[in-house]
Amino acid sequence: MSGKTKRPTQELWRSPQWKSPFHDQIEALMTERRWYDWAGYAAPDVVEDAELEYFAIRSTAALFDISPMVKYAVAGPEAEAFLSHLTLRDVAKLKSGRVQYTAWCDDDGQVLDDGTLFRFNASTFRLCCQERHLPWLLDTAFGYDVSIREETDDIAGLALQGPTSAAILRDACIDVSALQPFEIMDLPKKLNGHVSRTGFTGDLGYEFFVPPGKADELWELLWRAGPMRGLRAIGYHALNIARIEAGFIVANADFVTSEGALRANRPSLPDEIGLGWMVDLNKPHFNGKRAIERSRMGNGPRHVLLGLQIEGNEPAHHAIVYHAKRREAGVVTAAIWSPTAKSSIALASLDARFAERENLWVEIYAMRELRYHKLMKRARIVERPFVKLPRRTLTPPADF
Amino acid sequence: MKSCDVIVIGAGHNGMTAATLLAHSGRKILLLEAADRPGGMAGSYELAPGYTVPALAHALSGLEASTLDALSLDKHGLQRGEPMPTVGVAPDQAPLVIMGCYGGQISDLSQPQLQAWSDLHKALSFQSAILKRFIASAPPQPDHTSMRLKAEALKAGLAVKRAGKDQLREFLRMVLMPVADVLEETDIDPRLAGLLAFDATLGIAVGPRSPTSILGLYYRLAGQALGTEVPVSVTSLIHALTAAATTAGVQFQFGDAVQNVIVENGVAVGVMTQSGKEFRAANVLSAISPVATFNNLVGPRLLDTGLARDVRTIRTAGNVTKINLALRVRPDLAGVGSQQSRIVFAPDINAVERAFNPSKYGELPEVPCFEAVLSAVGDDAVPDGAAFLSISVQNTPFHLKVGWDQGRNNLLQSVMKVLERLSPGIGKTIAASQVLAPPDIEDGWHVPGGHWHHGEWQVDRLFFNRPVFGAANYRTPIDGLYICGAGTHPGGGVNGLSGLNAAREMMRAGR
Amino acid sequence: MQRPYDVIVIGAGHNGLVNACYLQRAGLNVLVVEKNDWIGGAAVSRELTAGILYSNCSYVCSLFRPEIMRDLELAKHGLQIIAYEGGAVFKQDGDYLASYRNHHAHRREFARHAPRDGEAYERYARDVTRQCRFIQPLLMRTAPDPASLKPRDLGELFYLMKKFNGLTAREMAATVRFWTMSISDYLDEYFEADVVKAYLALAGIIGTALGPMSPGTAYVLLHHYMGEVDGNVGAWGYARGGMGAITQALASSFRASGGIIETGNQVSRVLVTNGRAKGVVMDNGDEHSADTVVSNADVKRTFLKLVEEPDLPIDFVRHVKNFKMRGSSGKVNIALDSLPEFPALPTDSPCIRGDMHFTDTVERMERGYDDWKDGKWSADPFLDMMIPTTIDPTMAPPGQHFMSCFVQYCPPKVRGEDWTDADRDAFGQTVINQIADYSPGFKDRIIHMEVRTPRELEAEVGLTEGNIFQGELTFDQLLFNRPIPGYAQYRSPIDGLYICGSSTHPGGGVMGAPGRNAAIEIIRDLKRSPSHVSPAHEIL
Repeated sequence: MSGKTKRPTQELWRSPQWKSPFHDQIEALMTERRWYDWAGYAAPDVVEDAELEYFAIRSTAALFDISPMVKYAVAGPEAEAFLSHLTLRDVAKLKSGRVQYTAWCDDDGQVLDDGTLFRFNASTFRLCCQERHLPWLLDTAFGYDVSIREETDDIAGLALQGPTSAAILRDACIDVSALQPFEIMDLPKKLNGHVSRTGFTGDLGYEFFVPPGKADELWELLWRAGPMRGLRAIGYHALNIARIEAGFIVANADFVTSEGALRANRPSLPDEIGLGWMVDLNKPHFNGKRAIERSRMGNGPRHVLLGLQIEGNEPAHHAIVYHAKRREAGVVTAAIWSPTAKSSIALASLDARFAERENLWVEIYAMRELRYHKLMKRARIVERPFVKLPRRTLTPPADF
Repeated sequence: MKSCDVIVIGAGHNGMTAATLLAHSGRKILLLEAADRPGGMAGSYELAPGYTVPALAHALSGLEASTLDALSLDKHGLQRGEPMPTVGVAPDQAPLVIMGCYGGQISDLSQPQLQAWSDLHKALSFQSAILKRFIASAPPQPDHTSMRLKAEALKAGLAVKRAGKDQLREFLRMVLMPVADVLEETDIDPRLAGLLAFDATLGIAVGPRSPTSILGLYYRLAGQALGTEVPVSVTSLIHALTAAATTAGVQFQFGDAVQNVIVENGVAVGVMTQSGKEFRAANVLSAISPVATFNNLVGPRLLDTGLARDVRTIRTAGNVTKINLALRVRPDLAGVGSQQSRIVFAPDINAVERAFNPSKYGELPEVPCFEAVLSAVGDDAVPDGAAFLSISVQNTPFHLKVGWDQGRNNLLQSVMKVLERLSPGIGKTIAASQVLAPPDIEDGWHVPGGHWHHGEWQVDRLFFNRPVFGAANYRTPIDGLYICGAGTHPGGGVNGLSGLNAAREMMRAGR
Repeated sequence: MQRPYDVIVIGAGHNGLVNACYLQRAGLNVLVVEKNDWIGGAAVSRELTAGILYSNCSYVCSLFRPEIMRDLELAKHGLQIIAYEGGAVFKQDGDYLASYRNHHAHRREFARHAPRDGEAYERYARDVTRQCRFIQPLLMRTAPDPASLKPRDLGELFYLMKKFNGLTAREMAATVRFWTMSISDYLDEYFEADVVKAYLALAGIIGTALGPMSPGTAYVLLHHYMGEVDGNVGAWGYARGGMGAITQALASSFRASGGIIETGNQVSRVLVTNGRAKGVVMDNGDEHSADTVVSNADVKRTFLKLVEEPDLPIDFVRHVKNFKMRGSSGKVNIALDSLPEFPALPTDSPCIRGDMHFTDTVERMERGYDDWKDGKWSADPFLDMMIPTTIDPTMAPPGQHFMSCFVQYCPPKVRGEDWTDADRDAFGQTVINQIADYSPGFKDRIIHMEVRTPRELEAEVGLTEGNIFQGELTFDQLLFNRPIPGYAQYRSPIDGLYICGSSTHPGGGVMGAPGRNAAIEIIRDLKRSPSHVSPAHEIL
C-alpha cells in the first residue's frame, strides 16, 4: 500500500444537479421555482409565467439558457473528414463561420442524435447535441488526425430569440445586421466568445457562446439593453411551444436515439423522422450510408414523422392516431395549442402506409375535473413549420 | 481496366485453396503474396545451413479428404502419410505414446483407463461430429429472414435426437464446459488428461479450467470424428497446393505486399501494392488476417464506426511462441521412435493450468507446456544424424511485461530446462536456434498480434461472430471484398476450410 | 407414526419456505422440517452478540421476486426491502471510485477516472439491461427439456425460440457473445479505467468458482443484475431487520395459512418404497409420512445423503457426483462499537451506506482466483463489504454496527486438507487486515466477529462444499442442465421426491424462484389448481 493521502475530489453526491453559469441570474428572476433536470443541470421550466414567456419569443425577445446542451470540441487537420464520416451532411460544404443542422447514424442507419455543427475555421468545430456520444465520437475518430474533447461545462450558452433581438443587440453595441442565418461572428474581445444566428424557436434569434467566467458580463450586457425591447428570461415550457410551431424535433421525445434504446425496434432511420434531406450520398463514405441506401432500395421507411393539424382546441399529447377511426396509424410525439397559428398542432410518427392518407383521426383523452372526455378529432397532414415567419431569415433583420 | 476476375491476397493455404477452387470454375485469378514463396504460416525456411524447419505450423489436424479431393491434390504430388505418433513426456514418469490419431492405440494404460478413455473418446467424437456440420460451410447467420440457421439447427437437433435423449442431453451439458471438468469426471490417466488439456487449449488464451475450453478439443477432433481426416505433412500440402493452383491457372505474384484495397463508390475494384502497382478485378478476396484487412487494407474511413470498433475488439494478442532448434544429434527421448513425432510436455491438468495463469498478466510461465515436432531419422530437411525440434510453446503472451527482448531468452532457458531433464545434454547439441515470439510472428507474417487463429478462437468470436458480426459470411460491407483465412469461420489450423467455404460462397453469389 | 401430511419440505431456507407456502395455500397439508433450532437456511438474522443482528450468510437482496412477495403477502408479515445507496472501490493510490444513485453524479464520477468511461456507461447499461429483459422472464418458468417431445416442453422450447427470434440479428449475435464471454473481456470492450472495470466485474464473480477472466462470467453478472430492470440496472437492497426478515415473513405467512414447522430435528433419510417417496425418517428416530417430499437441500446432500444409492439410477448418481458446487467464498461478520472511518472518502460520503471494495484491478481479482485454484485463500482477498446498520435501525443499538464482509475467494479445502480452526482464524485475519489498511483504528472498533469458511457454511447451513448457490452457475449447470439434464423440472427419479433449492433452475441468490417454480410442478402433479401463483410480471 502506498500512502493514502486524501485527494481533492468533487463531492458529486452533494449537488448532483449542477448549476449553469447563468443559474444565479435566472434564479433571481424566478418566481415559480420551477426547475427541471436538463442533462444534469438545473434548468428553468418556467421563470415567471409560461404564456408571457411564449409571447416574449414571438413578440419581443426572450433569453434562454442553453448551457446544458452537450458540446464537443472537434479540432485537427482531419476534423472535416472525420465529421463528414460521422454525420449525414457534407461537412466540406460547411464554410468557416457557419453552422449546419445535422444528424448522425449508427451502422444500421439509425439516428444516434441530431444537433448543430459549428465551423470556426478550417480545422476547428463544435458539435452541440442532446445526448452524450464521446465513445462513439472517439471510435469514429480512429484513423483520423483529430482531437475530441467534451466541453459542455466549459462553455456558457445563451439564446436570445424574438423579433426585437437584433435591436437589443444593436443597443448593446453588438452589430449583427449583416449576420445571415446559420452564420457565426466573433463577439467583442472582452467577451471572448461568439454569436451565431441560430435558435430553436423558428423566429429571429441569436445564440451566444462564452467562457463561463464571462457569463455574468454577457447576461448583464443583454439584460441592460432589454427593458426597452420587452426582454424576458424564459424557461423550457415556452420554448417548447415555439419549437413545435417551428416544427423542430427533439431527441428522445420525437424520436428514440439508437444508443439509448432498450428496444431494438424503436430507433429510426433519417427518412423516418424527416431528416432524409440531410443524407448526402455523393460525399465520401459516412456512417450508416449502406444501411440507408439499402432501406431506400428496399422497403423504404417503416414510419414517417409528420405535422398534423387537429380540429378543435384540445392538445393531443401522445394520442394514438387512427385511420378511418379504426386502424392504428401512429402516435403523436408532441402536441400543443399554437397561440400563433390558433390551432391544435402536433408532430406525429405515422406508419408509412398512412403517410399520404386522408381520413386520419386522433383520440384525445381530456381530463376535466376527474372525468375523461374521450374525443375523436379529425387530423390533417400539414407542412412544417406550422408557423413560418419571414423575419427569421430576413437580412439585415427588420426592426421588430 | 480489369486484369482478372478475382484478386486473392495472401498465398497461405486458405488463399491458395480458394484461388484454386475459383480458378477451376473458369475465373481468372491473381494471387498476391508479400513473401517470396507460398505457404504463409504453413511455410518453412532454412534455420541454419542444411536445416530446413517449419516456420510456424508443423503439424496438421483437421485436413479433410473432401478438401483434398475438391482441389485434386493427390494429382499434384500430395503425399498422404501416416499420422504422427504423439508422445506425452514428463521427467520421472513413463512416456505415453499414442499411435495414430487420438482414437488410435495408446501405450502403457491399464484396462480401466483405456476403457475410460474409449468412452470419453466416443462421446467427444459424437459431439464434435455435431459441430462439424456447422464448420464445413459458411456459418449460418442469425437472421430471421434466412431459414438456414433454423434448418441447420433442426437438422443437427434431429441427428442428435436420433442418437437418443441421453446423447442430446450430454451434448447440451458438455458443449461449453471446461475441458478439465470433462476430464476429471472420468478416470483417465493423468498424463493423458494433461495431454488432452494441452491440446484443447493450444493457441487459445484459455486454460483447461476455463469454461468453453472443451471446444478446442472438439475442433481438433472434428475431422477424426468422421474418420475423414487425412494425415499429410505441412510441406507436402503446401507443395501440392502450389502445384494445383498453378495448374488451375492461378497467376502468382510474390514479394510485393498489398498496400490497400482500392474502393470506388463503396465497391472494391482492385488493390494497390507497396511497390505502387495497381491491379484491378471484379472481386477481391483477402486471405490475410481480417484485422489487417479492415484496419490496413480497407482502413477505418470506409467502414461504419460500429464495425470498425468491433474489429478493434477482436482479441488478436497471440500466446504461442515458436522455438526452432537445429540439433547436431537427434536426441534420444523415451518413447519416441525413429519416425517424425509430436512430443507434448503437459504432465497433468494442473501443470497446464499453472502454465496458463501468468499469461493472463503478461508474464511467462515458470514451467512452460509445449508441443515439439522432432524430425524423423534420415529426414532430408536436416543433415545426417541431425534433427530439428520445432517447438510451440503455449501461454507466451504478446504483451509481455518485461518485453520480448528479455522474454525470448527467458523462455528459451525455461524450455531448455525441461528438455535437459527429458534428454540430458541436449543443450550442447544445438547448432542454431530461433525464438519466434508473437511480436515476431506479427512482423514476419503480417498478422496483427501474431495470433495463430488471427484472433481469439473463443465462443464469442465463432460462427456469425467470426471475425465480427456484419462480416461473418466471408462477405464484408464493402461490395466485392471477401475475406477468408484463420480469422474467419471456422478458424485456424491448416485445414483449408475457410478458403473452401469462401470460394463457394463467392461462386454461389455469382462473383 | 405421527399424523400424516400431504407434503414434507426438508429445510426451512427461503426456497423451502416459499415452496411450502405455495403448497399450503393450494390446500395441502405441509410440514417443514429444519435441522437447526432456527429457521432461515442461508437467509437469517442471528443475534451472535448481545443486541446485534447478523445477516451472517446472504447479506443483500434484489433478486427476491416481487410476485412472490405479493402472492404470499409478505409485507403483511413484516417484510420490507429497502434500497441502499451506491458504494465505493478504494484504490491503492488513495483515491476511490464512487457509485452514486444519481445518474449524472455517477457519470461524472466515472468520467473523473476516464472521460470516456463516464459516457461509455450509458451504452453498457443499455446493453446489459437488454440482456436482463431477455433473460428475466425465464426465471419464473420451468426450463423445458430439449430432449422431450411432451407438448409442454415443446411449448416452452417454442417460447424460448420465439423470444430469441424476437431479437434482431445484431442482438442475437450480441447475446451469444454476452453469454459466453468473460466479464473482463466484456468490460474491456466498453471501459478504459482499471478501477471502473474492477468495480463492475464484481457481479461477474460473486459466489462463483471462476475468475473475472473466465469465459461465462458475463452471464454470472447478469444473474446478479436481474433483480431490477428497466433503468435501474443492478439495483440492490437490504431486507429490513436483516436477511432473516425474509424467512421470518415467509414462516409467518406459512403458519398463518396453517403450515407447521418443526425445528431442531434433522432428516436422516427419505423413506422410499418401490421407487416412491413415502416420508422422512428423522435423526431422533421419528418418522413423518407423506406421499410428497420436497428437499430444499442441495442436490448432492439430497441424493447422496438423504436417499439410498440403490434407489437411484446409476447414471443419475454419477451426474449428481459430477455436479459442481465448489465453494469459492467465505464470510466475515463483524460487530462494531462505532462506525469505521475511511479517510479516502470525503466527509459525509454516502458510499459508506453502500457496498465497499478494496480491489481496484481485475488482475488482483483474477490472482485471487489463481490462489483459490491452488487451494489457498488469497493474501489480497476480494471483499464485498457493507454496513447495513447505516440505513437499517433495527439491527443494532444506535451507534453500533453490523458489518458484513463477503470474501472471495475462499477454497472448500486448504491445499486438499480440511479447514482447521487455525486456518479459519488466519483467513479472518487477512480480511481484517485488508479493511484496516484503508480504515485506521478499525481493529479497535471490533466487538465481536464471526469467520465463516466453506467448512462452517456446510456444517451449519448444509451447503455442500460451502457453495452459496447450491451449484455453480456455469453453462453446463444452467437452465435445462440444472441440476441434472433430464431432471431439471424439480422432479427426481423417485416418484414424489422433488427438489426446490438453488441447485435447481434458475439458481442461487435469495430469489425464491426455484421454490415457487417447484411448487407449480408439484401442484400440477397433485392435480391441484395453481391459480394462487401469479405469473411473472410482464416486461414491456
